[in-house]
Amino acid sequence: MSFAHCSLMLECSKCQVINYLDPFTFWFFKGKVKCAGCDAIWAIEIDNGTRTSGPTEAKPPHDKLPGFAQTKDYKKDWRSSDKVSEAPKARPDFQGKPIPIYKNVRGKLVSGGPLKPEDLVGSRPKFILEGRPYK
Amino acid sequence: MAMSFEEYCRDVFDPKKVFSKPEPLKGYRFLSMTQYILGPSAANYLAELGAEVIKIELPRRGEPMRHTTPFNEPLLYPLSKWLPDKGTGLGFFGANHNEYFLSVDFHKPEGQEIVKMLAAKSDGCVENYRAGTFDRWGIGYRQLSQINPRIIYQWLGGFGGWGPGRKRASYDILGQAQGGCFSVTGWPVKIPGYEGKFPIGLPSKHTIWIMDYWGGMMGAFQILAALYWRDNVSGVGDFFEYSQVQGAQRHLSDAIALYGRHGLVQQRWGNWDALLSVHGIIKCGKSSYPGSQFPAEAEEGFCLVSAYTDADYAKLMKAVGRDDLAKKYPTHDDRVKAENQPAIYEALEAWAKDKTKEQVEEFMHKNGINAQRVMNSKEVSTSEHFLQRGNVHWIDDPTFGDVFSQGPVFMASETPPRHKWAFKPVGADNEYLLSKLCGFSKAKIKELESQDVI
Repeated sequence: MSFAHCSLMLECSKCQVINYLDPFTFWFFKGKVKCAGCDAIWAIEIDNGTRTSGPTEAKPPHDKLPGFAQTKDYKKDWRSSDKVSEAPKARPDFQGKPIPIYKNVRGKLVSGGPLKPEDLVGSRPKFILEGRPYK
Repeated sequence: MAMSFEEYCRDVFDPKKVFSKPEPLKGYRFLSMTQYILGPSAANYLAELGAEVIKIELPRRGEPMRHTTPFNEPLLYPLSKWLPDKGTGLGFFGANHNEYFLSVDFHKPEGQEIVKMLAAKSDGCVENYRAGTFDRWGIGYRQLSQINPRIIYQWLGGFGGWGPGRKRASYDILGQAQGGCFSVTGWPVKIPGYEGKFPIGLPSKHTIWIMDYWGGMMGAFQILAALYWRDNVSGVGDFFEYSQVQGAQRHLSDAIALYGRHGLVQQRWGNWDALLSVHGIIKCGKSSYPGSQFPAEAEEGFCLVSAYTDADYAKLMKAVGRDDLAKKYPTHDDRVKAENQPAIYEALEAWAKDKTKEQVEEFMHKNGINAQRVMNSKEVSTSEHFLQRGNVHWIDDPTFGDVFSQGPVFMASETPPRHKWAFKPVGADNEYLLSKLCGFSKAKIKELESQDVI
């Protein structure tokens, strides 16, 4: 059996979106999953992390949503609760809300905020490499 | 000797001299195909001692721990060169120091070939996917030992590859639950006569991932034993299985033996001690940081007080103005009894009601009583004791800049552990590792990247 036929990654044959069936939910599973990309319903059976049957097209309603989904080129992903099951989120009320920073508590450079592709040299932030404040 | 022992220790363990000393595991290479904390920390400890550790993660997004803490709030950027606007959560910090980062999709045949090529040139690997997953993918111990009979394969996980629990997964918290730890940690079911005065009936979990980090240390320990055995005795590798739930039950101290001898089931005894009294944590009435925005600072403080010998107990009770309790419970047998402990702690907390934890600690020290205020993470981070000894330290990280981190936990005069960098983005060393160890050309690496193999 090839990997494509036994894994927890469900590639929809209709829209080619990869639906990730998270191990916690799907390690032992028999039921129907809705594709985040095109809403197609797929019946599958997974035993101890190995897909033992499916996917075969089925009728609504679905039993579970995938944990995460994205296109094969990684350029688009789905995060809304009607497409994928909601992940545990930070609780700003007691964990605080992180603020992007480029200088740390003692005023030195730190890469603590989102970057753009042009901000990198290889995998390293250019401003850290050059020792200059981030602009 | 002219030098005092303190001066001697300060000199030989000086954190500033660490980088001028040799690394004991330099020359050994390990693959870390790990996620979360249990597996990664085992490899991390080897890397702190100088082993070349290659962390292999799935391409682009990396392993789940990068996204786990704080939940969905990544804080160090970039996550990878493909995703510069995403970052890695700080939970990744404690378990991935000094490592090289390679991205490989284990699911793809080309990715599995890369793992095999690397395993052929490595001393061992650490892996903590579900038991049997790598075997199914053709890159488990049975397959890798055919390629490299000297390989040491350390699997860590929940229940192990055999036995009734073999199909189950585990997290730190599950390990503690199954291992019995929660049943003896937390508050007793009831304290007769003190209903409503003390919290009762609740088990308590460790918020820190103690079973992950402890399991990782055990994994590293097993690997060192295997290296000795391979290099001095057998010439061949070893396959290790570390089950987290087994590791957790090892912490039950005397509870297992007690059950075996008498059939007794140990109960929880809160912040006090079932075998010693006084030997527990008391609540102080005042906050050390009133009005702080952080609940952990704004709350009233706590202080450990330990005075269980007759002399210390008498001294303690006299100091807090409760000579009557010293006379009432003169022997340890008297005061350690479950029905007598509440009265003693109640008296201590009543005395501490108008004090901060610092005031309680200072008072106890002045009166010759062993005490330690319960410190929060900020107090630990700014503690001179930890900072001087390098147990917490700032790292001038080549990727992320000026970052603060836990340091290595032990010191060595000749071959100390050290932190060279905190961690790196996913796949940061792809070109370096694949050209050095697999002999791939630039074009081949680009091709693999375009096929999502790396």
